[in-house]
Parts: sequence; structure tokens; C-alpha cells
Amino acid sequence: MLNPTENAPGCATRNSVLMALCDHASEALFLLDPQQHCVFMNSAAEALIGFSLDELRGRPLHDVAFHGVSEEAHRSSRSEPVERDFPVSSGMAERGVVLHRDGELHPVTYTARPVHEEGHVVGTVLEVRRTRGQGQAIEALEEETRILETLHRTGAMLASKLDLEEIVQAVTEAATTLSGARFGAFFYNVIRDGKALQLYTLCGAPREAFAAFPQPRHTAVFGPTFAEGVVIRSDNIRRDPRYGLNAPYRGMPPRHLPVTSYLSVPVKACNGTIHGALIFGHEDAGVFTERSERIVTAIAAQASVALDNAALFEAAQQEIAERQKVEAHQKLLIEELNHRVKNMLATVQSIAKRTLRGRADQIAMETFQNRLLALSQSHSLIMRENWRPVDLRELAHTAFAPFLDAVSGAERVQLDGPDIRLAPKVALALGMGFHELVANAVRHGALRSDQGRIEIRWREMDDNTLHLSWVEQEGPPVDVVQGQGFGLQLLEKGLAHELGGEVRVHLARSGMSCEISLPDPAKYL
Amino acid sequence: MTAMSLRGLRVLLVEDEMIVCMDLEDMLRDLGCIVVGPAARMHQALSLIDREPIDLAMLDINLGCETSYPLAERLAMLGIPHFFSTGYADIEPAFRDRPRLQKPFSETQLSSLLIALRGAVHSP
Repeated sequence: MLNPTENAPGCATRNSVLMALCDHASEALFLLDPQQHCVFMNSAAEALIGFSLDELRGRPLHDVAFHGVSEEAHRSSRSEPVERDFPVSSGMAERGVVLHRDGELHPVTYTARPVHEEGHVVGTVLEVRRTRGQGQAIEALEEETRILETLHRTGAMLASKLDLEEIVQAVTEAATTLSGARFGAFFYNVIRDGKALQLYTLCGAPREAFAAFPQPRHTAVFGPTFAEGVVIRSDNIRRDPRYGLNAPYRGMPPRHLPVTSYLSVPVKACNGTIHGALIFGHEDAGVFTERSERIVTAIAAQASVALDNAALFEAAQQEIAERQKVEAHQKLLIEELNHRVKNMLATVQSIAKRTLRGRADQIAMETFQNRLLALSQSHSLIMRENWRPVDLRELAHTAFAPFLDAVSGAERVQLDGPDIRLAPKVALALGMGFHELVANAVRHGALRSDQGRIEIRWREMDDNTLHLSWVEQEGPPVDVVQGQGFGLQLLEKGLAHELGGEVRVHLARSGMSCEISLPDPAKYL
Repeated sequence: MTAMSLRGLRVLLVEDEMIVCMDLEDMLRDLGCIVVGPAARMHQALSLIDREPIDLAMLDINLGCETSYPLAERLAMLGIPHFFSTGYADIEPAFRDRPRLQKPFSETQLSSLLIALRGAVHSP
């Protein structure tokens, strides 16, 4: 019955279609009769065991080629019916072993399905597919996982590193491990103190192993990678036509580590310049596969990004260090300048005092000294701000300080206005102006009596012009006919002239007032 | 009145700039002090400290190619009150607790500081 070629009339065509289908299937298919004799095999099945159907006739398949792996299958007698060896329940994939005619054992998985006719089992369809050995498969998977992990770790590590030496060492180690090389080296170009250098790191060999040899030059073997950025992979570099062309060694120098398999991969920056090259060697032939080339190329790409980052970082660090040095020097110069200005003012003060001693009256002497000290105080304020703009309110306080103690100053002098910064030049001039106004108020104006008050108000206009008003009130009556003293001149002409501003002094019996307007007081250098 | 309270106070004057030094001598004498020195160099000042009785010392910081910080240390060791008169705004951190007069200064500023320090001379 179980003969696929023998059937009802008109079925011949259908049978040949069926045969063709089976023959094209990639899995091996066996049809067994109840005695487990094979009555049909497709071509994949013949290829699997190496026997033809004729050669199997009269013998159970078990005897020739097929063995189940399960305990039950082993125990069963070879002549038992199919149900024992291929139980009815086994629609599931099972593991087994096929013995090929040439004596080789192949692990397989198979499914067996009983064929029923009128309630009886009349045979079994066996479908068999070769597997790689389980242990081998696990090993391959583990290897793959290890490679992926190393690649991933290397990538993450490189991304986090900015130190050049650490990067190149990590790259060399990862690439050597993953490529399966006996040893590897990373030759990379750096610029140190303006000089271009080629440095290298090693993995799998001590530094002494290469110390005696010159650096790779642009020879026929190295040149393509170092100069043109080309990958070279050779199963046996000694047989490569480019090998041994260059003097002096015409190949490897004596006592060089043995290299047969050779792989060199360039590390290229994003702008196309070549950072260097990763070079690997192994004493055996044919070690580096296309896969190792791909892995190393991937690492080289990661390395390139890391090296770019390291170079940028180093440049930034140098820039910062340079700037800090300049700033420190500048601070030193400013400090020295301040010191000299102070000493010069002290010397001028001493010269004037010794010159005028006994020749000028006490008031003149004091006026001079106060002016000099006012200049010095304004200067101190600017110094404290490192020659950057100073606060207007603070400048006014400085001018009042020698004449009023803090408590009475707060009551009698009112300062009212927004925070405004004054360039050093403006601060010095306005500081002198304030001093003249205060000194005048003490001698002739509102501060001559205990009741007098001074209101100083300022505001900034849209065009950055500073408007400041000085109003003295409730002081003793003012003697309106006063001369054109230095103080007044300094205010009216000096401020206006030096700062391009306008100053109006108004003398009234009720008290003196002064209006000052200065264009953009923060602007001057 | 201030001059009275400073009368007879022996003040070591350390200042290397000639004109300023002469002026300071005048100022100290006007206040009734006795000027010890003046010294323009550290070794001069050190030998004055060893030889002369000193109530108080007034130190310029920058003495040409040396500074007066070691003098301040020596004076501190001897318990002699002292202050810096200097054009420098910034001084060594270890000496920032010392009183200081920023040059240029007025007689009033000088006498106030001397009076304040004279208190220290007589306190136990």
C-alpha cells in the first residue's frame, strides 16, 4: 500500500508533482513502513545519509543510518514496530544522530508523524534536519556575546575618556582580543610642543619586543594604511607581493616577532586625516577573517571619535592654562601699577608738604592734601574692582567718608538712584568732583551747620546719559558772591571738558545746587 | 591733645623711599614721637630692633628687593605692636590681620592708628 508510485488510475501526474515537491524540499524526508523499512526518500534524505533507496531495501533505517537519542529509542529492538521507535506522540522535534555512509556522525533534529489508514498505523513520515552540535552552538553564541560585549564596553569606555594614552591602550587591547591576533599595536600621530611624533602602544607583546626596530615607514606594506588609509588583510603577508620590497630589511628585521597573518586598519579622523593605524599579527596563517576586519574597523571608528575628542579636550585645556597664565600675569601687572600709583601719590604728597612747610597757610596745605587723598581714594575703589566699572553710590560714599562719620552721614546726606557703573576714567573725574562739592559744603554750604542736608539723586536716560543732581538744603545762608575757585572750575570745566558732559552750578541764598549730565558713563576705557 | 598722648612714644620707622621717609619723620615728630631709625633695609631694621628700645613699629612692605614680612614676624615674637604703611592693596595672607595704612594717608589717619596701637603698648 505505502508505495507512492502505485495508485489509482489518473494519479500518475499527481504523483510526479508530489515527487518533484519532495525532491525540492531542503529537509530530508523518509517514509517508513511498519517494519521501519524505508520506502521513500527525497534527494535531501539521500544526501544526508549517503545511501540510495535501493541500498536500504530490506533493512530497517535504524540499522543503517538513523539513531534516536532518547533512552526509549536506544532500548527498543530494531525490529519493533514503528510506534516504539517513533512514538505516536512525537509530533515534536527530537534530537538524534545520523551516520553518513562515509562514517561521519551528524547531529540532527527530527519529527516523526504516523500515517493512519482505517484506524491502523501503516507507516511513519520522518523529517530530519541537520543541526550544528549543541555544545558548538552554545560556544559560538558565547563567543558572539563576548565580542559584542567587548565592542560595547570599548565604545562606552572610549566615549567617556579624554586622556589620549588611556584611549589608545584600551583600543589596542580590545582590537587585539577581538581580532584573534597574537599581538597588536596602535601607531598614532601626535603633536607635542609643536613637533609631530608617532607613538605606539602594544598588546600581547612586551615593549622590548619592538624597541630595537624603527617605526613603520611608508613602505609597500605599511604605506597604504598609514598614508592612504587602506585596510590590508593577508592570510600570509610573507607571500604578499608587497612584502620584502623595501630596504634595509626586505621583510621583517631579524628577531622580529613572527608574523604570518597580518591585518592593518587605519584610524581616520572625520576630516579625513589619518590619526594612525592598528596593526595585528599572528604566527599562523589565515587567522584574520573578514569578520575580524569588520570588528577592528568598527573599533577604529570608535577610536577615531575618541581621539578627536581627546585632541579637542587637550587643545581646550591648553587654551585655559594659557589664559590663566596671562590672567595671573595681568593681575600681577595691575597690582604693581596700583602700588606704583599709590607710592607716587605718597611721594607727591611728601614733596608738596616739605616744599610748602612754613611757606603756605595751613588751610591751603590741607586743601591740597585732601584733594590728593580724594584722588587716591577714588583710585583705590577702581583698583578694588580691577579697573572695571565701579558703583556710583560707592564712589559718593568714598567722597563723603573723610568728612562725615557713617551715622551722621546717613542722616544728612541722601543718596537716591539706581545702580549705575562708572568707567574708571569717569569715576576718577566724578570722584574729584564729589570731593570738591563735599569740601565746599563743609566750608561754605549745608555741612557748615548741623541742620544742613544734601540730596543727591540720579537717573539714567534711554540714551544712557546719566543725570545727577546735587541739592543742598536747610544750611546757613549762602554768600552768593563767591569767586571762581579751583573747585568750581574743576566741576564746571573739568567734568564737562574731560567727559563731554554738562555741569551747571547754581548758587542761591537757600543753598547751592548742581546739575551734572554725562553721556554713557560706563563706556570709557 | 593727640600729640600729648603720643609724646615720647618710640616708633621704629622702616621706609625705603627717601622723600616719603623724610615726610613721615616730620609727621611722627610733629605728633611728639621719637623716631627710631629710619631704616631702609631689613638688616638695618633688625639691628635697630636688637639695640634700641622700641614701643611701636611702622613698616613699609616693599623695601626694594626685599619685603618687611620677616620684620613683622620678629616684632610679633617680641610682642611689639606694628603696622604696615604701604601702596600695596594686597598683602600676604599670613599678615592680613596686621593694621595697615594705605598710602598716601593724612596726619589724622596716622595719629588715630598710633593712638589705637599705643593702647596695646601699655596693656598687659
